[in-house]
Amino acid sequence: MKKLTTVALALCLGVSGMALAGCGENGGNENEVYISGSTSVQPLMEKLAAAFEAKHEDIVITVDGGGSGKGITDAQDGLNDFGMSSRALKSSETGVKGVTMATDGIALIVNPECEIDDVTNDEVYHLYADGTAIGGVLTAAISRESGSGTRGAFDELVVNEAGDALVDLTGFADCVQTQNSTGNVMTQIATKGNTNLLGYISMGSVDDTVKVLKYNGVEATVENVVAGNYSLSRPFVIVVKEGAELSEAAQMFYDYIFSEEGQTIVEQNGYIKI
Amino acid sequence: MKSVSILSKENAAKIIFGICAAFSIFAVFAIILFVLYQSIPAFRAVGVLNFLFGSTWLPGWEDRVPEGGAEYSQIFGIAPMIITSLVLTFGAVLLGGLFGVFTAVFMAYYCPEKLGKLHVFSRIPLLRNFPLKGFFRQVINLLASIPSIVIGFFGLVVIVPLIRDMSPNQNGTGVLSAVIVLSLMIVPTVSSLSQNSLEAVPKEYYEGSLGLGNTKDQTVFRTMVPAAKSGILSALILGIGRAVGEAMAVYFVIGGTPGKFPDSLFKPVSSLTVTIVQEMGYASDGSIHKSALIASGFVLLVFVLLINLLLNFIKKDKVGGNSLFSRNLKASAPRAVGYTYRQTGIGQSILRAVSIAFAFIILFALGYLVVFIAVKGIPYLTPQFLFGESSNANVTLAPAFVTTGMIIALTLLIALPLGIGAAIFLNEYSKKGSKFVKTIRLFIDTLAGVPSIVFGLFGMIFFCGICNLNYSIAAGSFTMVLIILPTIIRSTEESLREVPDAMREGALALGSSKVRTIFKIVLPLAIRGIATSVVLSIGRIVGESAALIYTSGSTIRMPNGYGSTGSTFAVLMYRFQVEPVPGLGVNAMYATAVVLLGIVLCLNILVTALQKNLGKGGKEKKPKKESVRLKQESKAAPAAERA
Repeated sequence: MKKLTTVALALCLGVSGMALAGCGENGGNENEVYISGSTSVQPLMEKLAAAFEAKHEDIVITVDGGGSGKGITDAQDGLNDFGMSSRALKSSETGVKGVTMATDGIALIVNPECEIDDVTNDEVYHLYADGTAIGGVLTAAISRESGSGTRGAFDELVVNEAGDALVDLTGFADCVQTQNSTGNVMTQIATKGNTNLLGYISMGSVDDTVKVLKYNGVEATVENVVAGNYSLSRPFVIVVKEGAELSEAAQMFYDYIFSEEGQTIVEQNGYIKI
Repeated sequence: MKSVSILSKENAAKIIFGICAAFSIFAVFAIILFVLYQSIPAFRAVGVLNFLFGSTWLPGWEDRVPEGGAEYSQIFGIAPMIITSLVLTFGAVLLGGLFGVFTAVFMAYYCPEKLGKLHVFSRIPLLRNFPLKGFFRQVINLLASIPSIVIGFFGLVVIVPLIRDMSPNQNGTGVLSAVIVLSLMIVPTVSSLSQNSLEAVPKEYYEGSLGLGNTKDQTVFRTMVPAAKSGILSALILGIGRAVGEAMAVYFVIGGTPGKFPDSLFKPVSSLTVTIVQEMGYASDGSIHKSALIASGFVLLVFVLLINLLLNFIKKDKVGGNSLFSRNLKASAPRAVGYTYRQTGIGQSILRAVSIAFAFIILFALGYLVVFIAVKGIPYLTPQFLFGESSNANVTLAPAFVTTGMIIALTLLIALPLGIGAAIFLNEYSKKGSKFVKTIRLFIDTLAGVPSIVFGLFGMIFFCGICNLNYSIAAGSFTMVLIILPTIIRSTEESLREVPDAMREGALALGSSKVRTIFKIVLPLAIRGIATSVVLSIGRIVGESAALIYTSGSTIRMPNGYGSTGSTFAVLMYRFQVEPVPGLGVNAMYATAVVLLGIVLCLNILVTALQKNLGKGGKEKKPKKESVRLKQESKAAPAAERA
């Protein structure tokens, strides 16, 4: 029994030792690229990473979510190789620079069984601001959480007839719930019977579980965004720490995103290349 | 008297065991201090009163505030979230408590051992021997061990649409959905503990009441339930502790809009825990926002500590009830009572019907949950999704097998010696009624009551931050050690207590030292109890999500050591919710939920098997009375442990 205890103790110490030693190397691996930030950019970044990994088998790219806010602060703190943001950087966000990698529309989505097809900016503003139902059908809406780039862009872009933007409100109507990812918004909207809910997501994330609405009579298509007819659009931004050099692997992936091949993937997935 | 060196083997062992036992005290203080420490910037910038009583929550607005300006006080106010947490807790304890207590009454008094006892089934050979009571016990245990993330998900896809159809404003998310989900979570806690206390009421009460001519229903509801009320009250308070700290399950169904007061059942609001889950991901290090989130965790912790103290106060006098809550028996003046021949006890008969109905509603809810998730998820459980290599192009569950295994291994490796050491100290070395032991017990109970999201915050601050482990499986495992420690200590202590003193005395009389007696005689006899605690701990680790997301990360990658990040099944399920798997979408969640349910079911069967063995082993070695008590206690253990 004594022997057993000794062995167990030794094992215990050994493993914790290993664990601690292992932690020292965390992030130090040359062939690992860590990217964090916007959950709107994430699906595109994962596609790009998958294509890149297929070409460079020795490089592992980890794409984490967390929201644009996290992407930017992680980059500021040097916690990622680069961050993703689904809105332009604010002037208060110093120490990092943003490089636009694609443009994305924000699609207004409803349940496929919903009868509404078209909404105006005023209708959307008032649904979020004071809960005025749209067409008597859309009585509730989903917002994203406050760190979301999609929310930031949406709140700035949705302006009512009087020129007020959602972003200046200190609170939305009682019918507005908050979901903290593109996936959550889609799950809610797509759930059978949820025909009274309006939500918004990245255009590239749209699939057939949801129906996309026209905004001010304009269809949410890549062409309309490029032509400037569809006003709900924002840049996808790569956030890099100022003055810091990317690791070799990160630099390779960074270059790949802006290469012709990378931009083709951007286009194939329903986003607008630069 | 022979002088004994303080460094003798015996003393060294005692000191080591004592340190193991005192570890819980350190842990509780460390949690309180570090969480408080990180909350101070927010308390300073916002002002404690503004923070507690302010009603706006606008984290995006800091950059509109001049640095260090006083206007933080207008951004971070948690009053609506405190109220929401309290409303949810109150609702859940009302609804879940009602269901829990009535289910307990059903289990204790109305559920026949065998289905054949019911007249309808007595002729059907296959069903006649179906162990109905054992089956119900399994149902409650299973409900207790279903991971909160699975219950939350079930709430999102089943309960929210149901509520939406009832709601006047067609809004399913909000207070009512959250209360239902929380009730589902506290029913097993309340019911198994209430059942324990009902069964502990002396048999004489029952017989006496029947002997006086009461019906069974009258006896149950007028004699037995009042006699067990202090135990039932403790069960309800444990339920409160559980409900106030629950994060993941509520997060799915509440709608998550902070800064709104819960003045309607059908309005999206946010509780203390949910706001932390939603916003912690992107609150930047060192910001007032992050500190404010941690501070809301601290407020939550204070609530839980108060609830624990209250519980301790009520528990004090277990047998006769607490002086505050027990009825004063007054000698009533004899009254002339005329004979009446009206039938009495109709109210109690109705209560019986209610308790049977409630028990079957719980059975139905669990059955529906399991079948619903199995039907939706099993088609997507392909070998590729389970075991394929996980990459950006192709997300699979394979890394979760490895990560879960790694966390279980490291956690148990640390927690088992600590927990067993503590249990040995409490049971073998301590003097009865010593202040030190009482304090330790209080702290172990407190540690058990800390919400997992607060463990997550502490792990993030202490292991990831101060110990510089970053997001890593090691940090996750260390955090899990704190979470499962109370389970291991309690379960081990229980089985140590079952070892007859004669065994110890025999060993000591034969000249073996105390340490030798413990390791050679006592521990081997208690091995099954320890094994049970291991299985229960594994269940806890598998089901944990909130504490791990902030400590071991939520990557989809295969981990390559204890220093790298990794996700368990529950964490992956959270990740799939936040970032849908390409091509699978929500179905990936169903599939992961099936895996989780499968693991939990296996663990439950394992616990039952272990306990059956334990009962048999007990009968051979111990006097009969002992083994009966043992059986009763151990059967309720899994559900109780989760509390």
